[in-house]
Amino acid sequence: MNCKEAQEKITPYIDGELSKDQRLDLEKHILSCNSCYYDFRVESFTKKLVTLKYKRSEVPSWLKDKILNQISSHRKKKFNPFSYLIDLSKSYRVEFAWAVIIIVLSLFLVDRILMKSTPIKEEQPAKMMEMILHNYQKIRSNQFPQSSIFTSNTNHVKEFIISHGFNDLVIPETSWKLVGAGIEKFNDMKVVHFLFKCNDNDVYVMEMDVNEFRQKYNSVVMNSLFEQMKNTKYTIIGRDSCKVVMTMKGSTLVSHVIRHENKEAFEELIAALE
Amino acid sequence: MNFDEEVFKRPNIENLDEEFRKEALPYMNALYNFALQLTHDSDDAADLLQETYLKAYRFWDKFEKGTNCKAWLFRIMKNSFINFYRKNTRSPEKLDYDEIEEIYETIKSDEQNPNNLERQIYDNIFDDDVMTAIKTLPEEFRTVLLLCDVEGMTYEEIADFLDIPIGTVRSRLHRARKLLASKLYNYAKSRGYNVDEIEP
Repeated sequence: MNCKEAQEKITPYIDGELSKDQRLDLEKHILSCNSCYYDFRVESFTKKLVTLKYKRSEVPSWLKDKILNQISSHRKKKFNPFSYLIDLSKSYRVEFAWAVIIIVLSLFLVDRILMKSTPIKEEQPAKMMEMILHNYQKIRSNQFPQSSIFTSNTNHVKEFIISHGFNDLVIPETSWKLVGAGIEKFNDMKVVHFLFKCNDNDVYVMEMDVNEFRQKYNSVVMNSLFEQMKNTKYTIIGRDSCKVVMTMKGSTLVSHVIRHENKEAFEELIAALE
Repeated sequence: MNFDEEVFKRPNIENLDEEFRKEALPYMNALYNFALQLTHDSDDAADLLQETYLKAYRFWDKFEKGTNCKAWLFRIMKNSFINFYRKNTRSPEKLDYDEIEEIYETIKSDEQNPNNLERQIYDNIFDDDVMTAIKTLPEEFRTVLLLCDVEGMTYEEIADFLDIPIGTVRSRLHRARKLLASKLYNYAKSRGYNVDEIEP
């Protein structure tokens, strides 16, 4: 190593950025070259001085308080969307009372008119979704009696994903929506499963070994997976008013489609099972 | 059947807050200092710090747990700064690298024993002198020096953060320290209790 090379290595040496071999090379040179040794000493000393003597300015306490207040008021705003209305009602009491009365009355009237004019409605998509999820949950806990946790509450699903370290699970911006998530112990394996909704009737499930999922799945893989799931042929199992269609891909991924449709298919599928 | 929704309630809002407090708030001092660095003005620094924390809080769910929270916060601060304060930033002073080398070479020939040099600086300067010397460094040197020696960032982190090549980080650090050593030596000399006496 010549002096020019050594000069380039001194700084990263001091900052711990060199590999072991590079360190040894430089040490060899420094011990035999006074000039480079000098530079090395001065630079190390200077770094030490900065690290020891540099005093950071303290955040003024008023600023600290202000930031903490801002954060907590931001939180209040986030979880109290009616606070604005409440403020409004305080400053315009009479007007506000009238507005509320009129709104309630008109809602009541609209409701009555609708009740009369429309016959009993088909099941609402949301309700149907609820049933699908409910049935799904039942099937899962029958299939995996050892231990099964499942949630379909949107907030809980998000928290579930975060708390289990699936940060990369980005749902592409299509009609896909994550509607449920759960985790199960199956023999010695931990299985995680996610429910995705594409339209009102179809729910797709993907399930995997937890660790494998953490390692493999990111938004790109998820995208192609959705495409695959749409085009798969499947086997059917089911219970109650819901049918579940399963797809095995290799030995790892199983996807189910649950449809809340007709009894025939359901009976067929029970027969198939028996 | 073991369905227990309670399990999912654990990382709830209160806990998220606690997490934010625990992970993000300890860096307030570091960030404030960096804000002072960027803005050169305590009012602007206060604004920038507030904005950084509000943004961080709002996007806390975007922060990947287990990664470097400090680097994440610094990045938010830098972006906020670029977006809102860019008008006020001056273009970096032109630096004459040869001049730095020259000044350094002068002290090198002035005091050839590194032990003596260290002792003279150490014995004759006050803590405030180090601060003053750092503050009078050209901005691009000072930033790199503080990120490395005070904030403990790696070259890669600094390069990424400042959008400069790693080689530039290294050479700026190298020059910053040479310049700083020269400044400190000159301070020590001007205080000069024993500097001149050493060689009669």
